[in-house]
Amino acid sequence: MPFVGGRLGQAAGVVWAAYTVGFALFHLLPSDPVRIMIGPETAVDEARIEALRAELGLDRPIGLRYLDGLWSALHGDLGTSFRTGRPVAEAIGEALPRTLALAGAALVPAVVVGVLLAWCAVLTRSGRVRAVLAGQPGLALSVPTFWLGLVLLQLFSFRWPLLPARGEHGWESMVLPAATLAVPAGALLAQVLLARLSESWRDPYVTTARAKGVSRPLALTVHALPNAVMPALTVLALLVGWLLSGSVVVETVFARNGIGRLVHASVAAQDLPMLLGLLVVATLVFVAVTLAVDLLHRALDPRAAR
Amino acid sequence: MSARRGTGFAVAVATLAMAATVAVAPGLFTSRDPLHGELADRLRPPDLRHPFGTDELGRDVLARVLHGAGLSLTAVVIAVGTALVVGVLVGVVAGSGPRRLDDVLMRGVEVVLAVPSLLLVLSLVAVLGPGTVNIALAVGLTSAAGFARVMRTEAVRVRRLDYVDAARSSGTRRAAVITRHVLPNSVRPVLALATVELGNAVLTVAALGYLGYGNPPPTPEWGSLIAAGQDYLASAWWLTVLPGLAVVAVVVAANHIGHHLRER
Repeated sequence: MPFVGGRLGQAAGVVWAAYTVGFALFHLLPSDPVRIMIGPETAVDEARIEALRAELGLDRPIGLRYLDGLWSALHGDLGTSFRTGRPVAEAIGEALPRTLALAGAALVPAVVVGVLLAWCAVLTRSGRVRAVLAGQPGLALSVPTFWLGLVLLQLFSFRWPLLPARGEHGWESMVLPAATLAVPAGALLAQVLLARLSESWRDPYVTTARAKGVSRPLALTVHALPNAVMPALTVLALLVGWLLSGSVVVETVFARNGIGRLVHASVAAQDLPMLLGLLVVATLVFVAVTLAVDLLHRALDPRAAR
Repeated sequence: MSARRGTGFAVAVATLAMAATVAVAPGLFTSRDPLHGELADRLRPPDLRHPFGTDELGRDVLARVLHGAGLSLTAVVIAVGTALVVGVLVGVVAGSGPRRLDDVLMRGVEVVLAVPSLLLVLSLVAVLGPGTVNIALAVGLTSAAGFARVMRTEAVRVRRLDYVDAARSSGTRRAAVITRHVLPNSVRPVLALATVELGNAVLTVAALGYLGYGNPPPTPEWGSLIAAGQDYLASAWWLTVLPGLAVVAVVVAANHIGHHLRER
């Protein structure tokens, strides 16, 4: 249990650090929030700007503002959006489930295809087939995600009108964006799993199993795979970060609402409070997944606890 | 096996060299104007005259891709250069400086690595403002963390080697130890990371260009070029598909070289 406490503390530390980095970035650099709010072209007299500044609490010392913001953030209040005037936490709370649903829909095919690819690549006796299979993840990771989305859209919505092009109308509109996100995610997983699987395939216990007459596919599935899955799990946290990043372009390509769309709109409008909130929430998600994977790892493999 | 890898490596190097040449002198490869077209020739599918077709203003898409290489690859070079310089500097200081400084710097690096990177890049873009050079700086500063970590590991590893001990005990100054021993010995892993980062930077810069944070039109830049074509997905597939292939070719080549450098 002290381990869990320690890791929780560490996780909280990372989220706090992300808040601090974001706060410093948005307040120490020479971009004036009030100017951003009213737009650079609008002519406003100095008194009005000063009044706005006081209203937003921007005339107070930066240290106080930091502590205040941190205290509110701890209570779930991430401030108010410059762009919409709505509470940041509310907007993120609305967008997050949509993006998580999309990420979940992408994760399933990514895991299936990633595992299958690594499995086949290790199992095959043909060096050429193995080389081709092992080359796929690298190729998939070299393709720009937004371009892949546009190509899929072109093929499956316009050339062959099988799926809706954009927007959110039921599960059909989820297929193409999820597929787009799944390609890099599956590739990343396949890469790590392939390396681990080839390693454990050469382990003595596999040789023993084979010598006792266990078939190659069975030895790979029952003996090598469970030992390779554990290290590959650690890539899951990386994958979630990847999916969150990918959602920015994918949601833009397919005109879906979610965290990615919110990020895009906030950057364009220099909505700093919203961006700070998004930075903190994204880090929170990432840290939570990392922590869950760590705990799972320890529960399944006592050696990790040492 | 090794012979085939040799050919692949040569093709990858040739691809990058070709891309660099195109970026410096696009006029060598096309005589067409990337900014002005014949309206009579608008939205022509690819043929011998226009291998990549023409866009809605009758401009030759291949010419736009070739002329766009300059801006796109300049941004990539700025991004990787920034990451390299900042990352190596932080890594060397952390790896050879006092223990407390090391702790502080590496905690900072961990935090940067823990935040989803595209979000951090976009936050920087929000602060710096749009523009292709700003995009490049944002990408570079964000990916500097990875370089710092690799460089620090190398600096710590090299510091423990016997001849470095010998150099130090014979009175070589710390700065000289770093430039003469630590840096030359860490070149390979840092260079491998730099080539992989090159591929990533091409992808991220293109993505940000696609989102519209790059230089405003009519400057052709690969990401915004693809974005401009997406309104014609139903009628003119070549506007999005073919420019994307240029991005894929450069990234595949960079990743292949990076992989090769890491294997050795």
